[in-house]
Amino acid sequence: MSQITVDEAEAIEFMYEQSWTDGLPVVPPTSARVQAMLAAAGLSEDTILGSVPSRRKTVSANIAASNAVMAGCRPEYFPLVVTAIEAVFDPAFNVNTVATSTGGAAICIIVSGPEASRIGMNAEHNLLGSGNRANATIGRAVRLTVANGLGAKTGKLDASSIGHPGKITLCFAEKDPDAPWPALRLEHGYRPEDSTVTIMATEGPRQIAQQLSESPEDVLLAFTGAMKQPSQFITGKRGQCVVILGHEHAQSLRKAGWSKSQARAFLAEHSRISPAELAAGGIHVESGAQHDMSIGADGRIATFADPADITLVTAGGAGAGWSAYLPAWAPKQHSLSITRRLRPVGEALPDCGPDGCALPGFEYPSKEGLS
Amino acid sequence: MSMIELVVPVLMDEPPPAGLQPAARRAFTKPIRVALIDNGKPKARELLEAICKALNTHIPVASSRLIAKGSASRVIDDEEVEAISAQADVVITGLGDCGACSACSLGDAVKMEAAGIPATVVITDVFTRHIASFATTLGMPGYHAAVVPHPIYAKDAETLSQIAQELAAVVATQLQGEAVPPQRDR
Repeated sequence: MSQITVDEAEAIEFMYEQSWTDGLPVVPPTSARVQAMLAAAGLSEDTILGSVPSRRKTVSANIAASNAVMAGCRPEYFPLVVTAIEAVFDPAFNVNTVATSTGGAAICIIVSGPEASRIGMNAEHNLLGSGNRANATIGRAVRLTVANGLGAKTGKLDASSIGHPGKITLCFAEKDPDAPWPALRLEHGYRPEDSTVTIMATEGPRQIAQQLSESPEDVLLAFTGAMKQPSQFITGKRGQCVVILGHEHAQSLRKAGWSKSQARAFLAEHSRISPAELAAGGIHVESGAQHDMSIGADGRIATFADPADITLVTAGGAGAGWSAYLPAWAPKQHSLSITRRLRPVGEALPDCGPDGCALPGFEYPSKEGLS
Repeated sequence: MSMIELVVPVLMDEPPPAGLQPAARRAFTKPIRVALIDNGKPKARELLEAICKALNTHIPVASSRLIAKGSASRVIDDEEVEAISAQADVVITGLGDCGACSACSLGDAVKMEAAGIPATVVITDVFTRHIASFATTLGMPGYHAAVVPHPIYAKDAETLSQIAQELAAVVATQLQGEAVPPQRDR
């Protein structure tokens, strides 16, 4: 663990001079603070969390812990930070591309399960806004680790043309839906008592207002209007997205007897777009290039090829009728959403023998997008 | 004055692996086999093919082979490097006209160089600084690039041909001569 001695009164300015920050002040990562992070996750400082061969970088726990300290995390947040960072290093997420694209992707982090409320995450009013330390600092810790661990900084390896505020932090908790709707972790095959972290590389959130109708179709069409916006990069190019279904909108769907699967299928179907609709927004169909914009029998192009590409969660506080929609920053061939279970501290790892574990039935959807 | 010790939270670039260096250069006197690694960006294939055609006036080209990478946001893997190495004397990659695709096309070129195949990467002028940073990270600081004006996607065939003809001498030098620094923005 490399260390440097500085005047405590000048520490914050020193960290600015070193370009360690995201523009906001950071907490000095003293050895005691970093060790407290590591202890909370039961990790040694040299535990490897992941590597990116395309950058010749391997990130160990001490890099993540020091960035979590700088972000302002409490030690009890660190296991979730580690889980998110391990997801970032999944080859299918393709962080090499996510963190350098001119498109300027956020790493959107969704926590599902009891750990979120245990550490005080916000799944209610203003969950994407300010005011909650866990939401704000977990997302910030992950982004700082990518910036400082993988060199994803402006003028270096981050080529974002515009960027957006979610590149500083974008993290929230799911509010478990009322029965019979399953929580996100259950949809991924985990147990109610598990906690999971889902990440997706996204553009900034769009707020969805529907305050004049409780019809399930009207509620969901309010989303598809945003999903079909022609200049959104994934429109008609087979992407993924996060839908945060707010209190009133979720109630409207459940009262009408709709399931989450039904809602996702409706969104996928009604976000298909015709070449004429794209052209009306100044966007033309790619041909002979990398993105599949093939036109279906209905004369339209899929924005989401599979309803499962829509991560639908319930969250937010009661109000007039607000939800949010976060499109993936690019089509699926460039990056896929990843979900990981939070491994309880001290949980024994399987004995894999000298050659590692073969996970039955496990395979990535496609070689495309991997680096 | 109270002093504190801070844990350094930054990973520096690792030193290049031993032996990582560009392929040896030599003047080609016999017709060569050219591999074009097309990343699928709009007009990438057309531009690469035009460059290859124009290259023939500087280096005799025996054949060209287009390799569609499928996704601009991945770097070719070791199997692909081996397969291309067996069938090509030089490689031209592109088109780097965005942050991710320029980094990945550069990564393709660096991998081919490491495998002993002279290569160059075609990028648009706004990404010269970006790929210079990536070249350092990848262990080949100062790696060359064949730079074209941005944007390429809106250029017609005649303009692409003209750009290719202007660029061909630079590409020929990069493939045969010493590795040269990126050109100035155009």
